[in-house]
Amino acid sequence: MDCYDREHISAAINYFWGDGTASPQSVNERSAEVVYTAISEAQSCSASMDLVPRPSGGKPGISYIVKQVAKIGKNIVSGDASVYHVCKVQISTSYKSEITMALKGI
Amino acid sequence: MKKSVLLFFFSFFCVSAFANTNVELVYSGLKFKVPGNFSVIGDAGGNLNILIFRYGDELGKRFLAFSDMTEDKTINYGCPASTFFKGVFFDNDNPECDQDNIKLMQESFVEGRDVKKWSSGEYSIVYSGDNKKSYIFVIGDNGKIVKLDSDFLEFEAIMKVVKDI
Repeated sequence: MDCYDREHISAAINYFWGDGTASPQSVNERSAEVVYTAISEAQSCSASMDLVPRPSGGKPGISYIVKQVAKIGKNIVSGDASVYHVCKVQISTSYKSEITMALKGI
Repeated sequence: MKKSVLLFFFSFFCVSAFANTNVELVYSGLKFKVPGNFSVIGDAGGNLNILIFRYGDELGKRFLAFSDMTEDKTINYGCPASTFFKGVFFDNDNPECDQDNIKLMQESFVEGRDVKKWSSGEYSIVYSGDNKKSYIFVIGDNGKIVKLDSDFLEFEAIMKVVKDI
């Protein structure tokens, strides 16, 4: 995970769970995995699953997940966040505990 | 040999007795009974004041979390969070609350889930669960709202946590 990935993943986390939830330094692979799982499982995101394209067959690897979540963060940073609004509403309350545990190493 | 056997049973009894003990937790002014055999307690701080108990060694698994959502600004509720979630679970019409967001929350916490509601004093309590996760929302008439969530405590177990509120 390079510094750009960290910055973008942290932007995605702060968009979904509120400013100050993550910093680039606090981001780790587990937190990227929580974002990916949250978006994949939120019913409201099912119509826009191309936001999180999945490789065919099996569970995606962590490097793939990191890149996908970083891409979402990059879109958010560039001001293209409206497409994620419905996902945000469902994800914010459902996965707050999981993202907190991932970021804090609990 | 007899001493060893006795010692073994005594140790087993002590561990079992401790494991079955509930711990009283006062969180956000409310009393909860938390299963006592936790391995980690984490106070994540932040604006939601998340307090997490983890049961076991695996990171991020078998947890019980408490969040005070009274001042939650994560999404645009359009009204106080407690009023918003009353709208989600009790169909209370409040035009101030964002109706689109209420519908989305109902998709998350009502549709296709096992939902139970009851009251305790000035608090309405809602359970929303499926085979993956359990949530409890404690919603006060005074604007307070506390959320509990767990990935392993099912209805009977998580209900015991809130039974003395």
